[in-house]
Amino acid sequence: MNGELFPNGLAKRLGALSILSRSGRLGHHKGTHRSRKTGSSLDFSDFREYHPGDDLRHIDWNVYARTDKPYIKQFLDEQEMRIHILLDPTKSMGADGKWNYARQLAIALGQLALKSGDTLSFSTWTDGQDYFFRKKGAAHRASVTKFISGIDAPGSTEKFTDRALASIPKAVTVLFILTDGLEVVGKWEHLFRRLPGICSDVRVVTIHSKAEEAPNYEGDIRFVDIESGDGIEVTMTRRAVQDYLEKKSVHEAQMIALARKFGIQLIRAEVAEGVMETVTKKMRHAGWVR
Amino acid sequence: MGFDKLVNGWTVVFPLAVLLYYFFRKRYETTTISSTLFWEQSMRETRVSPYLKNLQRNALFYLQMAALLLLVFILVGPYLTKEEAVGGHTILLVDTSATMLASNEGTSLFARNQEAMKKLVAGLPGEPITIMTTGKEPIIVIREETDGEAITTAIDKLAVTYEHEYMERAIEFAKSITATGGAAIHIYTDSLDRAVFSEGESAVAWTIHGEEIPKVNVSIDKFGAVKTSEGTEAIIRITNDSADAQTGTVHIKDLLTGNSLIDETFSIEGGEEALLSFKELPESKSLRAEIVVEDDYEADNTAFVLLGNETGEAVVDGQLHELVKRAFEAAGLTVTTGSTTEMLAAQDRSIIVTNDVSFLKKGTKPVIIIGRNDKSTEPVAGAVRNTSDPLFTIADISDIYVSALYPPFKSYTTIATVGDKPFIQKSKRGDIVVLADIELTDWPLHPSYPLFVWSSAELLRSETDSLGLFVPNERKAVLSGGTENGLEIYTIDDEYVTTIADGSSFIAPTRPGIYKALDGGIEKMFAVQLERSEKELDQGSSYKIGHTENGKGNEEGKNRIGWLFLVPLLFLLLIEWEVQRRRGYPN
Repeated sequence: MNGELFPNGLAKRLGALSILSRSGRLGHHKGTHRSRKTGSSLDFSDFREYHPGDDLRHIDWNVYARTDKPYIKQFLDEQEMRIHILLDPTKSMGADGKWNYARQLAIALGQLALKSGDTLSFSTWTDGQDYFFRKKGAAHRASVTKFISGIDAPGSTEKFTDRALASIPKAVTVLFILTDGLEVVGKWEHLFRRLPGICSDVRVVTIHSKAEEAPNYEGDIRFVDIESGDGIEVTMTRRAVQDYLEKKSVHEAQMIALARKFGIQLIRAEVAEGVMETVTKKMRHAGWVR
Repeated sequence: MGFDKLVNGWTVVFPLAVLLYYFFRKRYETTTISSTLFWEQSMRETRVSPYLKNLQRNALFYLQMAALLLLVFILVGPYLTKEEAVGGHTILLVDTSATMLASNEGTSLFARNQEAMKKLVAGLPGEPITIMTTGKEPIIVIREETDGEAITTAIDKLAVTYEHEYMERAIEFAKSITATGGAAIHIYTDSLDRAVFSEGESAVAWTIHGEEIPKVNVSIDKFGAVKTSEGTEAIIRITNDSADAQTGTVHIKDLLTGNSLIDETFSIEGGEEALLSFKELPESKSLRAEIVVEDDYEADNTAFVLLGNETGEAVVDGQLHELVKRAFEAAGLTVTTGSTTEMLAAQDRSIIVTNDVSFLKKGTKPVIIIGRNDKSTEPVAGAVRNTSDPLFTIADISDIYVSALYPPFKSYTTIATVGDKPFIQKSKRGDIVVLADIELTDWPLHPSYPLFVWSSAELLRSETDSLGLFVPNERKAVLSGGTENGLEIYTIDDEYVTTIADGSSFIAPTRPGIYKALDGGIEKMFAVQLERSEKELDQGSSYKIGHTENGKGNEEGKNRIGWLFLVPLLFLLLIEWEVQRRRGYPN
């Protein structure tokens, strides 16, 4: 099962990539990402005059010998990032292979994060049970794969936007939200409005399935909402499909506009294109990974 | 509502076919999808309420069904039965008897009926209407009139005639009018028994508008007065028709002098009657009795009496021939055979027919003498001739044969002769003397015989100053002087009422009361009294009998409403077309 969901080959192909963030807020622990602050890495940054109270060990004695003045040699600091992946567990994610795709995407992002030595946390839930995972270090790559693969099916009947905030830990450098975005715009606005307060680098991936993109039905269809169970009867005509697509694109456009408004990055991913494509092309293009 | 062409009901097959077609149409396939968010949004405009949604989804079906059902409905020929106009001809039979004056809250039944008739007529524009009034001789006021204005005017002119309605007669008359074709007859009366309608008259629809409100009525049932040695004695019988006890006052008035003679209160238990008698009233010729009481019917609260008149009886001497008695009976008198003593006793109030000449000297009233008991006859020959005496205006006696005559009275006027001998004589007092026994003539074989007897009786009666008692509108011949002016009728207050050309066509006035008839300078009084049946109020009911079933009257009785549904049908088709154009076929 694990192997099937996220084969090792896939992990190897992602090997060269790492998650990039321009956000100034990094974790306090040592990591692999350079900070704008000076620190204890091996990379030289700058000299500055000694002021009483500075660590004597940092005085560059060679410079002192030449100039008779004490200078402090400064190095770049390397700090960890805290990456959180929030997976939309509503039942709507279970349709049309979206769940597998979303999990694959989560594992891929998780592995990228762990490999860079960053702290990875992952959260999702079902009705009655919360899933939370937090590890640091490349050694835990296998365990994140196992953990996420173990969540068989999305089972939340709650609205994602209602619950999302509560399951995001504090002090997150990068927040990935994997969702299908199938909630009314008003709800999203409510969520998006509060996200910048929690994390300055929020990245939303909206997952779309082929059936949603191009509904291929004929005759009279009674559509039943997988979450609410509400049915709606639609006579499939070209006009009806056109209407549907129109509404869908309007919705997506509104989501993008909302995200932009609150400084949230949003890319749309399709199940059909595969995880590799999404990560290596779309995310790279968006500057999320390098 | 009914249907004319129920045969066309087979077309219900078409809507059923459409119904079936919709049963077999495609069903919705259920598909579970992530979210119906966008579908809902795209459908939102067409979704208002579950019912409307259903209606919208099946709009075409419902419209088609409605259109087809409507079409079937029209095809079966619906009609509404016109309630009033059954048959082309409507006859209003109006009871004009006195009891129609019985009022309820100030409005008489007659006035209410007039309103009801107007309402009915207003609902039948252009239909022929006949209006009849009741009475001994039913009168057609208007016949098959279609002009609404004229009908309304005629209804307004209707008036109560006080006469008994003789409803059977009126109904027969109405039937004879409607002998051809059906008609609707509306009878406006107070009460009419269903039993008067015989069964099997399908062509005529009877609608009886009766009076259903119970009435309180106190009436003077009888009012009589006789002259006695002490003056006048009057008797009043008052009947209380209501259930409760009633009290009131009786007033008796002398109409000639205007003096009030009696004012007395009375009280009667419910359903009872009271007999009041008053003695030693001053001598009077005409009296009016009136009761003042709280009741719904006033016409019977007054009664009149004329004293010293109305000799409706004749006493015929037993010695006279049987044919004499027969003749007086034929003249409409109550005839008794009596001896001399009986005749003497009855002389004041009866016509005395005898051969006893001593009666010419007795009593105050004239008598009829046929033959003489004091002389014997002598044979006679010659033609019979009469003078122009009123006695012979209708009885020509010139062709009778007389074999023998008694000697005449010298001082009497001879009014008929045989040859040159007096045959019939008149005294100054008015006695009529026939100077022959009936068996000495062939007079009874001639039609002039009973006519002469009637004329004599009338003459003797008219010697009094009264014409007698009449019921309203009564047609009765009275012996008049045959003057040019005829009979002029005045009320007791000297108001002119009418003029009647001659006595044989005398018709009594309609209103009860005392009247004066002026006949060539001679004033005679007569009273018009309500009939007994008009003093009783009956509570009736309204009902309908019969309906016009066949015939051409039937066709007009239906209000075809099919065409009314054509416009909605076209409208439905238009909507259907529009729905189809916008939404396409339902699958």
